Amino acid sequence: MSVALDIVNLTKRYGAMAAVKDLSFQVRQDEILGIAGPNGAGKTTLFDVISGLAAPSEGRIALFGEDITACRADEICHLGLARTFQLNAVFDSMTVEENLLTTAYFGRHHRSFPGLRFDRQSRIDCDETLELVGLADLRRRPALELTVLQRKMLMLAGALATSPRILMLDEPVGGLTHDEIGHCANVLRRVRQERGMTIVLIEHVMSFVTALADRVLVLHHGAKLYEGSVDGMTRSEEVVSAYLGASGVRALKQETEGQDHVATA
Amino acid sequence: MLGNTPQERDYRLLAVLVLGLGLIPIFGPSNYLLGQAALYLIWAAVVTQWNLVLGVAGIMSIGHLALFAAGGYTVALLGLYFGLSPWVSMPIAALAGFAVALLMGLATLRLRGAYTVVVTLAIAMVMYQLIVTDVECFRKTATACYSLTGGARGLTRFGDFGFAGLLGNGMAQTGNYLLAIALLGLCMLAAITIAHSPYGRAFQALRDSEPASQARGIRVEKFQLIVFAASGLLTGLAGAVYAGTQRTFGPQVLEFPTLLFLLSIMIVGGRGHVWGPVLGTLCLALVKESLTSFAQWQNSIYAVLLIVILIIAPEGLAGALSRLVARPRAVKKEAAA
Amino acid sequence: MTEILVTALALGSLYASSAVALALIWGTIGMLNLAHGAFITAGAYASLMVVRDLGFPWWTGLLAGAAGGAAVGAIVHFLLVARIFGRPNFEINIIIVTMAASTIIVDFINNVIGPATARQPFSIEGRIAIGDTSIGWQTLTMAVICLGMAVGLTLLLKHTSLGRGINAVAQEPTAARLNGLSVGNVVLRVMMISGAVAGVSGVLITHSTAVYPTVGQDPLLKSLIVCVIGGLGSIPGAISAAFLLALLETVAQFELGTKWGNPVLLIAVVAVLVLRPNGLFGAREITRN
Repeated sequence: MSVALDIVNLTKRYGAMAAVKDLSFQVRQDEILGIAGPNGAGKTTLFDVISGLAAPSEGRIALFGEDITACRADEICHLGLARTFQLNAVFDSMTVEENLLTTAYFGRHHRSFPGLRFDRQSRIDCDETLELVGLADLRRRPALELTVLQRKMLMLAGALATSPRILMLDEPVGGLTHDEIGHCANVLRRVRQERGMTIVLIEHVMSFVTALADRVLVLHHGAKLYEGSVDGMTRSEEVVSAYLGASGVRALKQETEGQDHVATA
Repeated sequence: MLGNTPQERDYRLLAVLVLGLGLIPIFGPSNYLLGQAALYLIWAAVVTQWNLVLGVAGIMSIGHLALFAAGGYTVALLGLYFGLSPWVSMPIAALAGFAVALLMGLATLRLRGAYTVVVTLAIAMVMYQLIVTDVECFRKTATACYSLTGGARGLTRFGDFGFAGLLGNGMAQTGNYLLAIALLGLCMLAAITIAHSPYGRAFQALRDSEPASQARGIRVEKFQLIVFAASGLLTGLAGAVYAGTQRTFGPQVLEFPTLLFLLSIMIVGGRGHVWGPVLGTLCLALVKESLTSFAQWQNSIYAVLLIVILIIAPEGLAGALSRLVARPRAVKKEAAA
Repeated sequence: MTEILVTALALGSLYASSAVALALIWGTIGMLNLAHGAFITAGAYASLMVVRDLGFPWWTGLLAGAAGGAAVGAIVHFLLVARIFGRPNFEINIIIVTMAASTIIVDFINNVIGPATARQPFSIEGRIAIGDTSIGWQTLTMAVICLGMAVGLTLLLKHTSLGRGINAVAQEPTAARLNGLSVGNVVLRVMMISGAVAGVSGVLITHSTAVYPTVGQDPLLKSLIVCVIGGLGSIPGAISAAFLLALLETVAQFELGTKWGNPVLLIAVVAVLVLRPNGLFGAREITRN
């Protein structure tokens, strides 16, 4: 099993405060890794640093064996890493289709001299992604007019259209209803099945994490609190006291008992 | 022109517009009207390019007229000191606009929002002040003393496009008018093509969300420079056409009233919309021509119009029209479904 | 050398008073007030009319300047700021709208009062010696008034309840509103205070130059540059940058000639911002529209 993402001694400081402290972990290819932890634990900062939107203070990041520590965000996208954001980041002035054409065109690989027309490959990527997330009927709809769930699907589609090898999702189901969360989970399962994707996801909604994740990483104050199986997480004393709480563990057990956990390939 | 995509519809509309405008001289309008129309066409052309930067890409540059001045002064100076015809200086003027735009883009590359406003405004105002305070004698004749840039009075007698010779006596204004149509046609062609191309989408992405753009492979600095430089090229060209058709060029183009007029065109027409500049110019031209009795208040009237549109219809005329057009089309689709 | 320093000091205090008015509005509301020049012009004209046409004593000119500026500030608030505040694209729209408002005010002054120029009709005679040069009492008085306003504003922000309200709105408008603070009220007062300070600076500026309808344009440009270098929204930044830039401009004008003052400032702005895109003490987060 090769390593998709290798994080070594990663530290990110803002002034005197360290948002991420000497963090090391690996993400194996084709696995789904969940990242959990209380607010302010440094999860989004971690994503920002890995995806190139913020520069690390110390440490190294390797993507499928290639060192990307000093790479820009657009370069990292071209190397096959796509991330989504907590606050919806779609292009509001465009339609659904235009959103995906744009991300497919610019995200798949570097364009020294962009052309005056979108190429066939981008149109193919756009159409396939629309099908994959179920937005094909809405292709002409302006992004502004979408519902919350549709916007989240569009953001996911925008990331998928760049033909990534690893997907990083920052709180993909925050604010959604129970049914909508289930819908998202199904879409991600489909993505993993049809494209063989490595996925890293940050989420507070524990039912979502336990339904999808093969392994879990729990952060606290920017450092690793726990790394291992989902079951182990609920049994770890540190995690329970710092994050889940006893009632959280009970609620979690109830959810997992009533769920089908799809075994990963 | 077989298809019916939005891009092809825009091209067709442009063709109709250019053809329609081009046929007007047949009806024998006065030279004054032709001259005025040429002026408005040139302003519209400038706004189509400024619209790419401020409207589509969302970069808060209000120094665009510096690019126009670069082009105009290139023609005027080359004509005055080297006897070059505006026809020959036009491409050089375009390059001058390109160069100043590139500098402006570099100066504001890492800046956002109000900081960009201040730096771009400062560039235009400093250019203005340097020209206006240029009073040293550069050229002496028997009767008078002329400064290098012409100072506050500006430059004249640097040549023109020679339409009187090419088309016949009395046809100079017609020639200028047709050239202005060609300029606007070229600028709109560029704007339409860019708007529907990957470039245009990248510019839009810059405006909508910078982090998302970067995360999806769009290098922000690169496209910032591209939009500045590209718009500067055609804006410099517009300055050249202005100089050659008006036969005078001075620092008035860098003053606040001109800036306000063009800003009004952009906002009233609809910031960021492809057809905004044309609609805005039409509206502002009508307002200006009906205002002759209130000439001293004309700036205030543009200002009031600008404020009113911004408050009650921020998408401008183009935005309002596109919503009206979208509704019957949506109804048709549902009826067909 | 002393002459340069003295000139720069006087100029710097003038710039400081004008710039803090601008910085106050940006820091509180996130608004770049391009009508700032009009506030300055309004103050200058108010003083002119009260002292020259109505015959009041010279010092009432300062009060008239403050009142004139505050009045224009209030008008701009009610007609423009209140209508656009909180709506999308506020940042760019308010810039466009205040530019338009400035045009209307200048047109009004031009057409109703007249385009002719005049000077502020009062001056204080006499000079005192400093080192190998001298400074006029007038210049000294101006400098003191300007510094007084700048310092007074800083104290107001730190020690009064209005100041606390302003800081609350500047940092967290939503929380401020939820805590019962009338944001609209605070914004109005900020506009009026800024207008008053700008108006007084307008009166003082027009001692050495004449009063004419577009007299506010160059001070506007200078204030913009000062505030941007200091970091938009930072009042101490504006004051520091004001003196720094006054010194730079004075030196440039002594060495290169008067007309090179502004170009040198422009180069300074671009250079500083290349290194620190938020200015020297920059505060607020800014977005592209």
